[in-house]
Amino acid sequence: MTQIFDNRIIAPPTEDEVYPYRRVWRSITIQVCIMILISVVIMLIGEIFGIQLDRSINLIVSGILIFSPVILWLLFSVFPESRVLEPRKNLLTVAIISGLAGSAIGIPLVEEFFQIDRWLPLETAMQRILGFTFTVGIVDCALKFVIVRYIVFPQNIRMRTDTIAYCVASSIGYSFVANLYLISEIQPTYSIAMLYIFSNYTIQLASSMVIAYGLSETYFNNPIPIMLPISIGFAALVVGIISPFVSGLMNSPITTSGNADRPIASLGFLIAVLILSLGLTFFFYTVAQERDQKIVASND
Amino acid sequence: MSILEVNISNNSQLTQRQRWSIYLSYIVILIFLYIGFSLRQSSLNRVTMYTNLEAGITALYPARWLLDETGDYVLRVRDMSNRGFKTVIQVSTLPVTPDTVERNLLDRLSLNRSQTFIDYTILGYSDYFLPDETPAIAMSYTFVSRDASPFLEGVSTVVVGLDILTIQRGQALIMTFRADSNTYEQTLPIFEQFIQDIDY
Repeated sequence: MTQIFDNRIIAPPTEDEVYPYRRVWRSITIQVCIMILISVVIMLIGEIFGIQLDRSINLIVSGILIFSPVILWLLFSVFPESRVLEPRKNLLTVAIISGLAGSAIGIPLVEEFFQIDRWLPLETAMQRILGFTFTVGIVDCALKFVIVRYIVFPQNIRMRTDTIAYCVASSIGYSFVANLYLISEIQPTYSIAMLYIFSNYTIQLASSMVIAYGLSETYFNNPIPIMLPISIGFAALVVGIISPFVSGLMNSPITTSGNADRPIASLGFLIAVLILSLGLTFFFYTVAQERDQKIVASND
Repeated sequence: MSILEVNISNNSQLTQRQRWSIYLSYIVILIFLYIGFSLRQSSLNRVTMYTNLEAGITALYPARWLLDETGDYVLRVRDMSNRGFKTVIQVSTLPVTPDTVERNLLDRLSLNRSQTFIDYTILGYSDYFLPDETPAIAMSYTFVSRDASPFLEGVSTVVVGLDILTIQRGQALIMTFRADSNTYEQTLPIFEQFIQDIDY
C-alpha cells in the first residue's frame, strides 16, 4: 500500500491563547439585545396590534416578564462563569443582597420617607430632575455602591471589567425588586408592565455603568479622591434625568384628542439611553485599558 | 486583547487615596440625601397667601393645593395629588346671635351632615385654644366617602374630620380638616400650621 504525503512544510498547530475570564462586554451586549427584542415584540403585540388579555392572564404574563432580565443575566453572565478558568465569585451574592437591600431600605426610603408621589410630580421639569437625583437616584446608587464595596471591592477585583460585572449584578437584583413592587402596586397591562420593567432595567444598568467606571478608575488608576464621589453623584443624576423623562412620556395628561401617553416613544427613548450608556462606558473603558497598556509598556 | 490583571494577594489592601475616595463617597451620599430631604420639606411646606377682605380672613395654605371659593364657604383648599379622597381644609363663617353657644352650632352642622354623609359618626368634642389663646371647641367625626361616579368602581374611603369652631365679633368661624383615615395623623400638622397662620 502506497502512502502519499504532501511535501509542503506545515507549521505545527499552536495552542490559542486561552482567555481565562468570561467576556463581560459580550455577555452584556447579548443580554441587552435580547431584552430590547423582547420589549419591542411585547410592545408591538400590546400597543400596535392591540391584543388584550384577561386580568388574571395579564397578571401572569406580567409576572413572567419581571423575570426576563434575571433569566437573561443568569444565562449569559452567571452560568458561563462556571465554564471559564477564572470565574468571578459572589456575582449571585451581590445580586441577591442588592435585591434585599432594595426591598428593605431603598423602596421604603423612597416611598415612605421621601414620599416623592406627594410633591415631585407637581414640580417643574428642572426641579423634578433635581428631586429625582437627590432622592431616588442617590438612594439607588448609594445602596448599589455600598453592596459592591463591601462584598467584592477590592478583594474580587482583578481587572477593570470586573467592576462592570459586579455592578451589573447589583443592578439586576435591584431592578428585579423595583419591578416586582411596581407591577404588584399598579397591575398594568402586560405591554405597559414590559415598559416599566425595561425602564427600571435601563435606569439601573445605566447608573451602574457609571459607578463601575468610578470604582475601576479608583482601583486601577488611583486618581484624586473625588473621582469616586463624582461618579456616584453622576450616577444619581443619570437616574434623575431618565426617570422624569420616562414618567413624562408614560403618564402624559389627557387632552381634548384623548390620552397623550406615548409608550412607543418611551421605549424608543429607553433603548437610545441604554445603547448610549453602554457605548459611552465601553469607550471610556477601552481608553482606560489602552492607557494602562501604554503605562505597562513604557515601564517594561 | 492582552489582560492587565492585578495580583490580588499583593493589592487587595486599598491605598490611602482609595480609602479617602470611599470616605468622600459616603460624605457625598449623605449630602445628597440631606439635599433631597430639604427639597422635599421645602416643596411640601411651601405656602401661598390667601386674602379675603370681605370675610376679613388672611391665611397661608399649601402651595400645591387647589383653591376653591365657589361653594358655601369662604375658602376650600384640596390636595389633588392624593389618590382617592382628597385631603381638604375648609374655612366657613356663620352669622350668630349674642347668645349662641358653640355646641349648638356644632349640633346643627352634625344634623346637616348626618343627612348627606354616609355613616356620619361623631368621635368626640374637646376644648381647643387658638394661637392667640382664643377659646374654641373641636369636634372630630368620621364618615364614608364614595366616588361620585359609579363607573369608576372605586373603593369607599373612611374619612376622619376635625372642626375647630370659635365665635368672634358676631360670627362663627369654622375651620374644617378632612383626610383619609390612613393619612389623617400624617397630614394633621398641615392643618395645625394653617391654624397657626390664619388671621381673621
